[in-house]
Amino acid sequence: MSEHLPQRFKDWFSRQGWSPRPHQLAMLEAAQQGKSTLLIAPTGGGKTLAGFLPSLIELAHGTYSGLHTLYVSPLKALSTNIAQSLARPIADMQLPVRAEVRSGDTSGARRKRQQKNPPHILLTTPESLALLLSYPDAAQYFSKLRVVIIDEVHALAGTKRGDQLALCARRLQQFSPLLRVSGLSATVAHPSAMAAWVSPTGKASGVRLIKAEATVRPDVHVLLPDKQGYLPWAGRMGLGSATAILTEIARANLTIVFVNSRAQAELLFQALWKQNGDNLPIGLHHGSLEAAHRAKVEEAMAQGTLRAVVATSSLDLGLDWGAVDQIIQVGAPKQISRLTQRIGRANHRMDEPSRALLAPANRFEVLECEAARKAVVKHELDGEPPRAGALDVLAQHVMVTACSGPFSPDALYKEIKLCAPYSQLTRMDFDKVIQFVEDGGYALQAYERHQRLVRDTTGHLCVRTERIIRQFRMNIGTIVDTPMLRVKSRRGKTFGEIDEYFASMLVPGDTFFLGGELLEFLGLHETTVQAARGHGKDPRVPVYGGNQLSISPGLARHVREILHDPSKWGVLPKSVQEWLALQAKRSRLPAPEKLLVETFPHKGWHYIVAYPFEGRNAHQTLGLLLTKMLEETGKGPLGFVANDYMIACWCVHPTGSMAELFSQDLMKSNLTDWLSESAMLRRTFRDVAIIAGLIERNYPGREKNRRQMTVSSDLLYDVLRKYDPEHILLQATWRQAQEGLTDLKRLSDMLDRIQGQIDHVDLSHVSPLAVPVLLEQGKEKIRGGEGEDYLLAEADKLYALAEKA
Amino acid sequence: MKFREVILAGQHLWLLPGGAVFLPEVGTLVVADLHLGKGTSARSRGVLLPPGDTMETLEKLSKLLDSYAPQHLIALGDSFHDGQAGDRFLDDEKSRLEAITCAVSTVWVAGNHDTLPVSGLSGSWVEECLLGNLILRHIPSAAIPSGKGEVAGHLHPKIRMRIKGHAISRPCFMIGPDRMILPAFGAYTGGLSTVSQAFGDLFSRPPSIYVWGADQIFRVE
Repeated sequence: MSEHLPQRFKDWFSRQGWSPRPHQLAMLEAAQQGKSTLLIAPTGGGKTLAGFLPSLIELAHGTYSGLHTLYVSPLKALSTNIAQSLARPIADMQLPVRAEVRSGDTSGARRKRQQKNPPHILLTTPESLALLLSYPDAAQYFSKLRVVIIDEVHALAGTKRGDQLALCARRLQQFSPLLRVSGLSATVAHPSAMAAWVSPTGKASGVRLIKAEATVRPDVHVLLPDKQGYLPWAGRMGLGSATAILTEIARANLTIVFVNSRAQAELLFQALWKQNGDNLPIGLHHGSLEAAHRAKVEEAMAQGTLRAVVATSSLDLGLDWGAVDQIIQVGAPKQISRLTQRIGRANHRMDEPSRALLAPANRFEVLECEAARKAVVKHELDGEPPRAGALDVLAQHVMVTACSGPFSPDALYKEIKLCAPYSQLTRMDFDKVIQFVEDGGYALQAYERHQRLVRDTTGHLCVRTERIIRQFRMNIGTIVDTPMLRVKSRRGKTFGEIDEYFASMLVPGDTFFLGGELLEFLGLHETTVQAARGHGKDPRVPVYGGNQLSISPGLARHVREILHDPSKWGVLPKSVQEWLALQAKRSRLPAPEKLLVETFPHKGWHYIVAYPFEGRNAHQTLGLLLTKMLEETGKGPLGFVANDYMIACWCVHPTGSMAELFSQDLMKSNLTDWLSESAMLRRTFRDVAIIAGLIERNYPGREKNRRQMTVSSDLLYDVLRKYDPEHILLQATWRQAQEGLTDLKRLSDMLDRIQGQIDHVDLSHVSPLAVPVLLEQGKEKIRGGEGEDYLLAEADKLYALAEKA
Repeated sequence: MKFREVILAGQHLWLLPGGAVFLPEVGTLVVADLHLGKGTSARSRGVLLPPGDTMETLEKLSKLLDSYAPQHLIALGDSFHDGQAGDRFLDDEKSRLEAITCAVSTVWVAGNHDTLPVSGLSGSWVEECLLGNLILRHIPSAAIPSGKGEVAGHLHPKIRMRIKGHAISRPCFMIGPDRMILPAFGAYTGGLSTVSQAFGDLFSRPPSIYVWGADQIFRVE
């Protein structure tokens, strides 16, 4: 097969002491046949080189001028990293190739130069690509483009950023019809869905699937805390494992300690340093830290001066950070595929086993770690196939298209149907989206003069004014973050960022952790948080936005299998075995195909605890439905709390029949109404409204004290629901919630399955298995309505008393 | 619906759920910051908000007029989001607004958004007005003559509080010894936190704060 490789490249490979891998040659062959490809390979498989090799060979002659290859990755940092590693073969072989990065950080001067004199290879992100496509010269700029390389396809497909990128890729194809697309992906559970996602036709048949399988089984162990493996009832931070983690760090050259949240990263980092007697150099890496801080940590990793880094998903993706010997996952693994990818970070050579340790933070997590360990070693994978494309992203794309020049809706519809996420899009929904972009698409139509788009006599649409275009360009992108505020010292040193909501809860004197430092909040100065190094106890931990990942159905099934079968408990620590035995004695173990529901009095309230094992999101939705049912039947529910395994609600009055409560009617009744009222749907609507361009992004500092002048998305949501319930953005919100946030499908499947299978145990006090959920943080209270009025009345009474006194 | 009576400069005022004030002695209903036409105000910039807010605000107002049957209605400024708001009203909205101004004699106090009278509108247009001991104006003044009380809007007060660990955020009435700030009545009006400096300058001592639930008023501070 290596006949496809020119001599110059063969020599280069042998000078490196490498021989081209079969998948690299297969990619080359496909390229020479003009085929689009999807390469699925584990980390460390020379994926990037395989992606670029065909382009480098085509460009080696030096006869090509103009933009040849566009590389898109989900991370700016990844593009920069790849540009650096591309520089090596280019320099070694003296290839006449110019490769440059373009991202939000690229200077204006450089952008102008890139516009005038494009590099051969441009490395960018989905957002920067969308911006490029919004300029009038886009068609001309991309007219000679031959290749689009999409890296980390598994991290993009099925997300809004992925939807945007898929739409942009089809746009590029219009400009350059012979374009081929190369997707690079980690091992995934649904390769053909992933291939369709990459495909220029929207069908898997349009791409050649090339796989490089992992040959070696990873070496995975469960790491128990000190104190003879005693595991706490609850908690997700895993701080009790600090000593055990340090011991393991000391044994290896470089370890990545993966955690599940930024807060956990901060706390664990503190806990490790408290006991770090040998002063092992340990760093911290997460998305809220200053870019400069992160860059320093990354460099230190590459140079081998660090022994360990505590990281969130910020280090999940394929950057090449030197020789990682092992990873330690602290806290619940949640998903088999994600864990496999994290373990892959410790796999700089494909033919050696990756080493990984799983450190559970509580008793339930021991079961989860044990289940995940088995699944990973068996090369099992989980994860859903990519969902249908989001309508808010489509609205943004319509606007991107309109900004670059007049377009025909018919032609655009055809183009979009070639995009796998939108291949099922109906013309009706498409037209509604166009209508929304054009004039808002409201049933109540007002003021025709002020539309966003205007139609010419040939039926083409274009943007009405240059001002609207400029305004829109500032809002391109599908990432909606809670506004973040910069944290600075009085002298102007930046510590990092915290989210606006968290900042608003602080009072001067409060302390919190950021970037591994204990800071004292001094005050809010316009849009900067002023802080100084602090002392003191009980620091608050920044709660960052973002949804928590739910346990995957596959992993949850494995957990249940261990749980209900005492013969499988042998691998568990003694304290966990005793806990489960006690549960079997006092109450019951959750049986397969049944739903265990316990009721008991506790602290003056009546509790219901159910064990569906369907993940936190589905349980949250179940909580909303249960409390609504309980309210309607006069049980006086006060709140609920859910984790990945179970849910607890508490009421003022005894709770009645469980079989009735968990009946299928739960799903049928007023589900839509109930959920529409929920905070979850409101949050979803906010994101949809921003991405679709209904409201502008809130850039901190831009509007300063004009907060009372901006319309909150909550108010818009209420008005829209009342006056225009069929509006396309409400549909978009509902679809999105159904797919992700509420996990409705998972919940309704479960309710179907357990009809007549309710295993109800009425207890006199709390059961051993229920203890963890009662200690869980993040209780949802019943908002609005009688509950809050009751609280307000309480406050009122207090003032009445105070006034009398 | 339960109101809550407070006294300002010797005069009785009823705080009503929804954010309005009724003066029983003179049969007058007072609302602030309706911001009619806000939803359609930024359309020229390409911001196409749902236009139902005007109808929503007018309906809410009509309901109060039905319940309290006042002789007078005073809108405390920023009743219209901008000078052209009236031109953008839909026919339904126009007729609803006319029905209101026909049913009750209406006084439009000028605001910073609507400094000039809106053409073709019934009712009188004033900079401020005096009702017994009460001065009603849009922007709260720095100093109030002794013996007088001031009723103003403009700032859209909103309180965030924590009761038994439960966070609640609501528009509110703020009342001091000689002044009262009304919450904004309009459907698309946001709020300014009660701890903001703008309020600190107006109240020398912490004011009383009232919010409303489904059908009653609560004092929370």
